[in-house]
Amino acid sequence: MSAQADVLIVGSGPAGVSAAWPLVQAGLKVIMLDQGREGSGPPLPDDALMSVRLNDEGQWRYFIGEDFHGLAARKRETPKMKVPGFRFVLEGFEQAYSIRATGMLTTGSLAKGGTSRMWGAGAYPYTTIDLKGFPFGLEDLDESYQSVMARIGISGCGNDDLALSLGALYPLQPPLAMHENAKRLLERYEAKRCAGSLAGIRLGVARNAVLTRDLADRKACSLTNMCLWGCPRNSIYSADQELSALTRTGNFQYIDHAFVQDISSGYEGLCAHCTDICGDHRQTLNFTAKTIILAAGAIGSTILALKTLRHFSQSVPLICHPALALAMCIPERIGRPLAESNFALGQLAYQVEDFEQAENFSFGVIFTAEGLPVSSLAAYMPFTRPCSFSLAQALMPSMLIANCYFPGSFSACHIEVTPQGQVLVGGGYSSDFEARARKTNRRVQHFFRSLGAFPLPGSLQRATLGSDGHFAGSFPMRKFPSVGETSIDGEVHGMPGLFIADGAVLPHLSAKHPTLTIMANADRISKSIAKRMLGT
Amino acid sequence: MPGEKRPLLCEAQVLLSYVLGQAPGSVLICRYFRALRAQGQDCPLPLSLPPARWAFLLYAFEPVGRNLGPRATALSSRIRIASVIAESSTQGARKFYADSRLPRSVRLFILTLKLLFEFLIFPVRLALTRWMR
Repeated sequence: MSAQADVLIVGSGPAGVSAAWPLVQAGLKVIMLDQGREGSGPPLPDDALMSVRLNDEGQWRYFIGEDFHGLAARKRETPKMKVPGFRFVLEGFEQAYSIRATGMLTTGSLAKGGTSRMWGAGAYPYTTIDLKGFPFGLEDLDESYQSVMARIGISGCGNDDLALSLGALYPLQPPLAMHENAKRLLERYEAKRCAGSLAGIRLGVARNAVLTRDLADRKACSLTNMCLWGCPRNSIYSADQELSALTRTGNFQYIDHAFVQDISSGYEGLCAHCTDICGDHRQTLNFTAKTIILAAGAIGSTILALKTLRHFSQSVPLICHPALALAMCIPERIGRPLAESNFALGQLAYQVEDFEQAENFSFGVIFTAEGLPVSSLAAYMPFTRPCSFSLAQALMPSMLIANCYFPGSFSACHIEVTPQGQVLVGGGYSSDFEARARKTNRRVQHFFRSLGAFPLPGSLQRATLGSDGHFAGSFPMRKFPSVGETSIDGEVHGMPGLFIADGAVLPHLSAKHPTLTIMANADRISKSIAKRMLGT
Repeated sequence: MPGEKRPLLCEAQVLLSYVLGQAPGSVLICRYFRALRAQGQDCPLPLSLPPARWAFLLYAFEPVGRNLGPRATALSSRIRIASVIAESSTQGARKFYADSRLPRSVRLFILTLKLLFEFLIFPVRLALTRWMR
């Protein structure tokens, strides 16, 4: 089977979908190629977590899974990786690309919508300081931020202390209702800020790609506290939600079971060779277009680009986020009843300034613990299990969990494709990371203590490198690109017509979550491609 | 088959009783059994007779500090599985979540007593953990 289009997009994640919109709106015929895995678990009830826990006899199907996936005892992974309903999102990725990883996790997805099916929904735009090292400025990305944010719906607060570092003028939906612990922390912070006693750490309301007002087919968040397990109302954005709207435009076609194995160039343009790697029929499909946009996630796109360029056995740098997580407790909240309604993703965000190099700040998000299973907290306690359960139950209403991301410059990872097609990925930290992590941890703990939130002993954990799925920098955009780089518009040097629109082209990974910037950049790249193809 | 099944079902009964503090429903026992089978853990734990008869004795036998990761002992990883299964049931949820409806002072008092008991039993647990290593 073969087909032709103006533009082929590889991957249906946030970058792919964001790249598709401007092209489709410009009237170009777009085909999106994707393996498009889907889950098969029971649908989640649109009920409060506590009600499901107390009344639903079939709850084990959502919380453990019919295949008992939720029982896996993996340390240092995000809690979402154990959720049975998200198993399909990460499954099969490493096998599909023949990846052998050491020292890190290579989180990626073959699912329809990519890793956005299970992301934390943190949506933080880059500012001028984050774009240091990029070959363009914020003014070139601003319009794309506006259109992406209006399209997906971001809730947050535009006038708190973090507003300046998160772009004060972007369209926002009202913030989500805050948990009592987060409220207290923010109130104390505001009081201290007015007294001028806080220097170097700023706190504000988290920005999430979660609706507080209905948007198209998606419903506003009803604070059921089920966020960790999935969102039956689609309040949390995921890229697959946009595929039907794209298809309705008439010049967009989504083709699943089409895993792109290789790309070749010929007289008719570029040709993507696909197979269905998960199905029974291994028929090869070929799709031809003048332009191909890779948006298969930074690792997938890097592998495809390296294969297309025949750059074998060459180690390419890969940037990712080193991260820490810390549990804290507000003593006066110990033993209080659990909240009846809650939002279980990011409640607050904070930024830890670096006084020597401004762009090296750290960034973190604060969650409540109430959406987590008691058993997952109890497993980290040194007491017998029944006592740990009682303690976790009493601590849960008082707990806050803060993660802290460091800029990608503190990671030292690489990726390489062998001539046999095997992909070798290695992860590590830069030599100055340990000292920096210690210093930041001290500052963060002191900051939270001053606000009445006390770190729980032994709770500091270092996340496995790559477990957050934030990868970048393997084909960085440059004003004057050379081998292994891309142009300002994401075009791969040495392969005209082949573009990359995901994290792989970000030259630098600031400590902020990059997804929104990846989407805005994909939108920018795609607008430039549309202009070029239409000669406008 | 029933011969292989019985020790695992007994183990399920003991561990779930220990975690829940009450006799588990038969559905939970079967779920524990199926979970172990699904994980390829067909061998029952070699529980000695006293804890196999009186689940509360596991307070002394539960290993210290090895709940997760590759260093987790067989007993602590089975207790973890029993915990997750118990929590994901209405019986467990009523035990682990509905307790929060008690007055705060009562809950904190009970918790203090439990922690006191933990400190008293800790040397025994530590000694048994080292002995069983």
